[in-house]
Amino acid sequence: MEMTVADDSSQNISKGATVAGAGSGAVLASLFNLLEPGGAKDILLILAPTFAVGVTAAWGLIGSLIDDVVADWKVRSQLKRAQKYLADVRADENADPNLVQELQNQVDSLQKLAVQLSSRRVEAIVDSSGRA
Amino acid sequence: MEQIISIIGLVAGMIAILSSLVAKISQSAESKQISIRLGNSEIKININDLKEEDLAKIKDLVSENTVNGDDGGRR
Repeated sequence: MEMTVADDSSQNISKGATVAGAGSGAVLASLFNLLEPGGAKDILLILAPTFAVGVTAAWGLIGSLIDDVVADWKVRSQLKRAQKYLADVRADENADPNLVQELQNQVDSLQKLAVQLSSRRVEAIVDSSGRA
Repeated sequence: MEQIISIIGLVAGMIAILSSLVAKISQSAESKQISIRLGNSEIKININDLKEEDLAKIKDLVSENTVNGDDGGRR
């Protein structure tokens, strides 16, 4: 999975990865520290930073999954909005036929895209370089 | 005392993880542009402001997908 990001987004991702890694390290170390004293506790405490590094490394993948889910949601919500608007315009007898046609085209395209997304043939991902 | 410190560490760590996740989700939700990919084809559209050319790009991508029946080996 590849993602197009602007420079500031890359910095945000690495900042998020660092915070998540440090947080998961703190959580694991605290959890392991609550265990009964013994062999496992000591080994797990020593391994806690390694798990934290793993979380940091996997953060990019987690971020891509979030982008993916948000992009799917955006396409579906835009489709719902377009369908509602089309229904409203059609209900109006004085509506401009060009506008109806334009909206119909929009709904058709978004519907096809939503179908392809649900069958996972097409991949949509939020492009962070296009932030508002 | 040691247990209290561990619980504080646990809570602080969870807050850090959750805030990272929330920041990532809000950053994604803020983005207007989405990138749609099929194999080597990729289009970028502003989903909140679809123009005629964006619709044409979507149609081309989707019809290409239907004709080829190729999922590009993704997912």
